Amino acid sequence: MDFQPHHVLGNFSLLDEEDENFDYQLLHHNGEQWLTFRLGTETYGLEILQVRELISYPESITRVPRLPLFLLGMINLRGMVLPIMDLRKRFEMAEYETGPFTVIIIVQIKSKVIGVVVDSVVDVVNLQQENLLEAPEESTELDSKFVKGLANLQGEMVILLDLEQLLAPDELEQLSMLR
Amino acid sequence: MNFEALPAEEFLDEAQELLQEIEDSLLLLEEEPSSYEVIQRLFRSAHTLKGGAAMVGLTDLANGAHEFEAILSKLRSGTLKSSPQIVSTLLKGRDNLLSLLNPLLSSSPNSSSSKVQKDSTDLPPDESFIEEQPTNEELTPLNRSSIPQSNTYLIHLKFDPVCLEFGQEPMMLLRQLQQFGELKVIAHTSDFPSWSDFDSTKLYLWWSIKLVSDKQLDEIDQLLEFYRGEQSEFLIEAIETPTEDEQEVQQAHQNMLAQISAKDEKNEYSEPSQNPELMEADVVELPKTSQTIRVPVSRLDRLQNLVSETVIRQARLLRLNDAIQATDDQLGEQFLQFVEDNEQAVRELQDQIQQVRMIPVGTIFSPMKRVVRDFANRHQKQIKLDIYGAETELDKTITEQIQGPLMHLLRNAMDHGMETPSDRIDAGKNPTGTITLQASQQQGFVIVEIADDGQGLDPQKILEAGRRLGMVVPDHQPSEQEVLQLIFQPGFTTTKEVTEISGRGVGMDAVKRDIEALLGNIEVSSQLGKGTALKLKLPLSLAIIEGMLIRVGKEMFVLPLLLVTETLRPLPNQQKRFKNRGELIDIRGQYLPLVRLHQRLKIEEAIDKPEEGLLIVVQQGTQKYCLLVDSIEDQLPVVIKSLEEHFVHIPGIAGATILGDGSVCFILDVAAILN
Repeated sequence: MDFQPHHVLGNFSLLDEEDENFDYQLLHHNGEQWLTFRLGTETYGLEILQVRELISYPESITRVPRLPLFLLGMINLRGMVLPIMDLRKRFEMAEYETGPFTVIIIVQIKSKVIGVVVDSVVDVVNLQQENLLEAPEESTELDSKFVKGLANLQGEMVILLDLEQLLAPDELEQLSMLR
Repeated sequence: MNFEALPAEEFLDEAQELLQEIEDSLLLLEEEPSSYEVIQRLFRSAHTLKGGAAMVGLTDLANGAHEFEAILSKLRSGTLKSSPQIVSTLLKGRDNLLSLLNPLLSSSPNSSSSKVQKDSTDLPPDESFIEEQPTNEELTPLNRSSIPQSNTYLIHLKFDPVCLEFGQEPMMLLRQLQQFGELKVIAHTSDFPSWSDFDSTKLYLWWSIKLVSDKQLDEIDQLLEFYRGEQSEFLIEAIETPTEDEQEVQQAHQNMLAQISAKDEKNEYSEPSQNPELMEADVVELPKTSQTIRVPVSRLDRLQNLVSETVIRQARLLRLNDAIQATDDQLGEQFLQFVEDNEQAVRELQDQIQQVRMIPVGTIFSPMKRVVRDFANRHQKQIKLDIYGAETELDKTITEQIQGPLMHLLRNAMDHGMETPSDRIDAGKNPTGTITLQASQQQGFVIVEIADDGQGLDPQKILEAGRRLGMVVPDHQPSEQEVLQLIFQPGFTTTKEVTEISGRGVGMDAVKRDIEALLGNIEVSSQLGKGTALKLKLPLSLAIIEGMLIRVGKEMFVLPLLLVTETLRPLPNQQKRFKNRGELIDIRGQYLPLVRLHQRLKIEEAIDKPEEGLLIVVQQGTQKYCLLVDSIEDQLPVVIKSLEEHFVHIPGIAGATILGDGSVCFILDVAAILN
């Protein structure tokens, strides 16, 4: 198989090789690449290798009986049925009307695929060692086990999410028990 | 695509089949020890295995098969008499051959031949092939040198001209023949066309060979078999006096060819290679052209997925038609005609791919004969296994997935069901017990039944055990059917001592779960002292099932049609309420429990009064239930999308499907909802 950067990202459109300002550093894996997105007033980051593609908010999401509310339901993505998680609900943040910038980030961990609803996608950034911050004890309202670290990006703080923790089966299992 | 990988993979498939054939034949040999035909069949299978193994470079397997074959040739020649003991030894040998094969099978389906080669070097040395040295003295000398007699053969090799396109390598055959003995080869160029007609992809060379070897005619023949193509012309003849020089080889060859063409003329056939009947016993019998092809299952799966997508799109087309008809009547009419024609083609396509994926259930019944034989021998029981309907076809995946559960049921029947011969005589029964394995197709489903004429299930004992294990409410006096259902409870067991085969208390619940995972159903019936029967009802395919689209509140679900027995709208006087059995519905004198789906699924704003909604009677095991739904929307073929690989197991949901409008709809797991 030909290896093309697009394959890593699905039909992700922020990467454009033909663009003169295209940052080739992205391809050379200099440091780690993160996809940053916004949720409320804060900026979060996801490891780009776990991101499959970005899709807009679909017309219909089929609700799943007896599941926690943050799991909105299932959608049909080109013949594949996959669950959608609302990160705002997951982090118990205020609800937000979906708008033109609402995006579902399709992530994949091992063979499991899930869509994550976020307010908007910001950028793909390269994080070097010097960008990383010491994580203060009470940095956000977020449960610290979902946070891999913090980064400083031109003066703005980015919360780096630990997707594997967030989507750990026992984590989800426990929550479905509660309801 | 990796062409290199193909021969090895195909051989692995073939080897498995051959080993199964060998096992079947050995079991038959035990029943008919003097049957020359069976020995002959065994010999052929072992031989093909040997040839194939040598060809793909599995030397250990080839050597093993060779030793196996050596014993068989003694049986064939009569120097060794067939006995149960020898059959046992041979069965063991067969198992050892299989164990040489197994490490290769577990590697990925795309393992290349070089991988096979590499793995085979890790295998145990040949000596371990027959672990248990036969007690019979005649079995021990298996040396090749013990057959000193050498024969001389004349071989005429004319390959199919297009054989090179299929990756055949004439040189390989010559090298293999070389290993058989002393070889003299003449290459003929007489078939070469003029240069203008020369096609570099075709093979024009042909060969005459003199071979001096200790091999038997049919062994060499078997080797040639592997290279035979549609247009190939392979002849082999054994000659009495060894010819000395090449001249003679050629002379003899000419004679042979002349003979054949003479026969041809008599029979008005122009091409000698196309008429098998013409050859005499000493000339090779040409095989019929194969009417089947082998295809990797993964390719069928891909095809199945594509067909599934087409089925979904067809449903979308139907929806689109409504919209078109609303705007343009005439265009809508034409479009509808097209959609209906297409519908037929899609249905046909779906049926055909389903057909292709079907294999006879007999493929999983066969290994059970051996299991029964070995078990009966070890436990001093006399058990006969009767198989009916082995030709009934079922989807390959389903067939594979019921093998485990069926084996479990079989072991239960042998271990718990069957009495010892003396007990059976005391009970006035035939000392030999019978287990019947039966498959049949009924109304679009496949029924597999396993029944024994053993002691049957004792409801009293089951109830006691159920009470002891706390599975039955103390005051409750369950019906006999309810009692029998206890055996499907997790952790249920009546045996206090655990035997090697079964009785660990895990089992029937796992069997039930496995069958229900296939959207099937399992029923038990039993008569004390007479026997037990378990009946599995299975869908024909796992990819597409017939479903009923139902609505509960605002939400839609699919119910597998296999479980539905009837639907009705009850009158208020059909509803009864009993003290500790909850709400029941009276259907022709039968009282069935009422289950409100909206309650189980926690759906609001749904119809709560049975007389306002609809009741769907579903069968779960032997028990029937009435499910209350708002309405039935449609009955349709449903493409199953598995949810397994996702993060959460959703109780009550067996899978999902995609409806005509592209939305996701869940398939209900009725068993889980009722529990």
